[in-house]
Order: sequence, then structure tokens, then C-alpha cells
Amino acid sequence: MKPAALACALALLFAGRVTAAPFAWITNQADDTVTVIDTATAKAESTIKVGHRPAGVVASHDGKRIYVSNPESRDISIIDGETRAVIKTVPVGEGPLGIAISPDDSQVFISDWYSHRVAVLDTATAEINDHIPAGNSPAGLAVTPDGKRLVIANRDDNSIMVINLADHAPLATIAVGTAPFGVTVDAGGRRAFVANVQSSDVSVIDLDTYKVTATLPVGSFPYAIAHVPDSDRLFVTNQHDNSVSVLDLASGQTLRTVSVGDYPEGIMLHPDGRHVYVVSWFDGEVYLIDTVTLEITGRIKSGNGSRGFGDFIAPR
Amino acid sequence: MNRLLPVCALAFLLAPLTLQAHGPSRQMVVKEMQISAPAAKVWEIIADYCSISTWNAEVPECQADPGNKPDTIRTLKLKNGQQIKEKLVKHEPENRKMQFMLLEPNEAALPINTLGTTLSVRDGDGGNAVVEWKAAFYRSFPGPTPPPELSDEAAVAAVTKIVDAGLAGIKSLAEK
Repeated sequence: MKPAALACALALLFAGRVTAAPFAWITNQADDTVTVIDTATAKAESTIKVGHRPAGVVASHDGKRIYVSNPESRDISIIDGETRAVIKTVPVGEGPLGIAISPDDSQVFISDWYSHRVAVLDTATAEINDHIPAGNSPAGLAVTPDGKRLVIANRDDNSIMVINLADHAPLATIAVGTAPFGVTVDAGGRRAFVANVQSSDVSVIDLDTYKVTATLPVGSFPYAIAHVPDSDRLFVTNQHDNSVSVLDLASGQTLRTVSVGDYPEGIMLHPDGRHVYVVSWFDGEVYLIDTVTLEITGRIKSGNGSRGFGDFIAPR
Repeated sequence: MNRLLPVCALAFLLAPLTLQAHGPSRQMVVKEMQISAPAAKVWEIIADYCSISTWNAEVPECQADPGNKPDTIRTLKLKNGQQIKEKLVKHEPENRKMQFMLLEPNEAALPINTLGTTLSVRDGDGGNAVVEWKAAFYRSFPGPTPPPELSDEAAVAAVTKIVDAGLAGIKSLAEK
């Protein structure tokens, strides 16, 4: 084979790998690793060593980079989605935890639990080039689909903040339930949903008026939320009930409580729109829930202390 | 203006104490014990929420209202003389499983916070039983750099001691 043809074949091979069925990148806090799951085969394929006690994770939309927050080594690990190697480790403050990415994959936001601010990473240089002041102990982060606003859950202020990403000025600070943690914005960028760990409910925030429009009870110690646009439902992990609450937003009712592994934490809708991936911390396992039948359709072993806190599936 | 300074200093000192924050890394202790006795017999030993003082040498005293209803609070006196309170969350005799959680952290008793425990018995091989103890918790120290006696390792060691004593006690009673 001619070199050019070989290069072309290799490029196709690698391109194929990244753009093939999406991969799930699951942080395993007790192992200091990330498990890579091929969502087409529903099998764990490989394990990558990262920093100490990895918790947060976000994959770029094109699947080429994966950013992992390591609260106890106080840095983030940047993984190449093709080679599955850590290509850079970047120090971030005192306790990097929540992590989110802009829709164009140009900026990564990392909440710093102890320094009460959000670090901004320029993905072109892979360096922190700015900080956004937050409330006390910022945890979950979400960027609106238009890339214009960042939503921060301030766990110890019982509030969420909405930041204008053009100038990093706060647009609003909104009181929610007790100890808000995971936050999700809907596909239209109209509503934010936040899981309030200690009041065991979910606040629905209108992103036009910055008002809480509903407070919906869920299970004990809710952690994170996936929104399913087709049915306008929320799937919420309940850490202490070992379950996922399925909420119908139109009626505000709980449709079903699905039993999963112990201490479910990270949760994300697969790009197929049909499956929610739920990460069980205690059992080190990922559960798949069919978003229509609400049945469990698969279980995949990950690692010890799996968290998957963030948008861990890509490409999407 | 100057009179405000001591107040500000005090507020600054108190602020960390009033926060609910804990380190971001939850710890776990999970242990199983094979017991040469039927699961039903083993469950009978531990089923009562306040029976713990009869099978855990690290917990010499327990007080609680009878009934094993969810939300029942038990007060445990530990071997070191300190007390903790735990709330019963779930009690499922049909699954031989119960779940309870620490209510008020007491750092002098245990350097931990937000402890949730699931204790269960299942059938093992050949008519034997397996007891499983799953504990999830945070260290009590809220900041990023705890002293050694309040570290994650110290928290894990403190919980492990209670778990080990409990499993050994259940085994010894069940195999009598």
C-alpha cells in the first residue's frame, strides 16, 4: 500500500472509531481511572489511569477530547478520544469538581468547590485563561445550547447562578432547594433543572424570567438529572434510595421510580434519545434505562466508586 | 468602623463551621461474611434495629423505640464512650435488608459525616448465609487538607472497625 493510501486508511480508521457509536467515559473515583464503554456493544473496552479521585467528566461533542476533574490531585486530566491516552494534566485550584463544555467545544468550565469560582479552560491551548466568581461550593455546571450562558449550582448557598458568558457577569442568582448539586439545561435552553440533595426535590427554573416555576419531590438525596426532550421527562438519580425518579414535567407527577444499583450518581441521555445511562457509585456499574418502557435494558460493569458526574457520552 | 472589625473577624472564624460542605470524595467500606447458618436464622439475629449492641462489641449500648418502623432513631454508645444517633430508613424483612443513616455527626465518636449503611443477609452456598455490610460516608473534616486523625484513611479505619466487629459478632452468634 502506498504511504498516502495507508495514511488515508489510518485516518479513516481513527475517524471511524471516534464517530462510531458513541462512547461513555465513566470516572471511577476509588480506582483513579476512567472506564471507556462502547455504547454500541454495551461493553467496557478499556481503562485509563487519570488523577486522584476523579469525579466530574465531560466529553467534547465531537468525542475527540475528554476532560476529567480530579478533586484530590487538584487538576484535570485531558484524554485524547482516539488514542485514549491522557495528553495533559492541568492544575485547577483547590477542589475541581463539576465540569461542562461550550457547544462549540472551545471552552471547558470547571467548578472549584473550595475556591468558590469556576475556572475557564481554553481548549485550543489546554490552559486555564480565566475565572468566574461563583457562590459557596459550586458543584454542577451546565451551558445553554446557544453557548451564551453558564448555569452554576452553588451547593452551600442553596442557589443557582446564571452567568453571561460574553462578559462573565452574573445575570441572576436564584434561590432553590437545599444543597443543589447536579444541574441540567433542556435542549431548547429555556429551563434549568437542579437536584437539591438535602431537600430531596428538583427545582425547575425558567431561564427567561429566572424564576423557579416548580419544585418537584423526588427520592432521598437526589444527585443529577437527565432531560428527555421527546417526552419532556426528567430522570433523577436518588443516591440514598438506589433509584431513578421519572418525572413528567407537564403534570409534575412522578411516573415511576426505577430501582437501580446503590448510590446512583451521574446520569445522561444517550444521543439515540432512547436510553438513559445511570452510574451506580457503590456497585461500580452503569445501568441502562429505556426512556419509553422505563425498563432496565442493560448493566455494564465499570470500576470502583463510579461517578460519571457530567456529560460523559460522545460524540453527540 | 473599628468596632466592626472584631465582628468581621468573628464572622470569618465562624463561617467554616456553619458550612455544610464536606470533601468531594465519598468513601466506602463494603464487606461480606460467610456464615454457616441459614439466612433466616442470621436475619433473626440482626432484624431488630436495636439488636446491634448484642452482636457488635464496638457498640455496647443501644436505645430506641421498638417496632423497626422507618424513621425510628437509635442512640448508640460506642466503646470510646461517645454517642451517635442513627435513623432507620428502610426495614425489609422480606428482602432481609435494612438501611440506616447517621443523624448527627459526632467527631469525637467517629471522624465521619453523612454515613449511610445497608445491612443485608442473602442465601449462600449449601444452606449457608452471606451477610453484607455496605457503608458510604464522608470524612468529617470539611477542608481540602485534613490532619491525619481526620483524614479519609482515618474515617475508613473507624468505620471498618465497627463493620468488622459487627460481622464477627453476627457470625459467632449464628454459628453457636
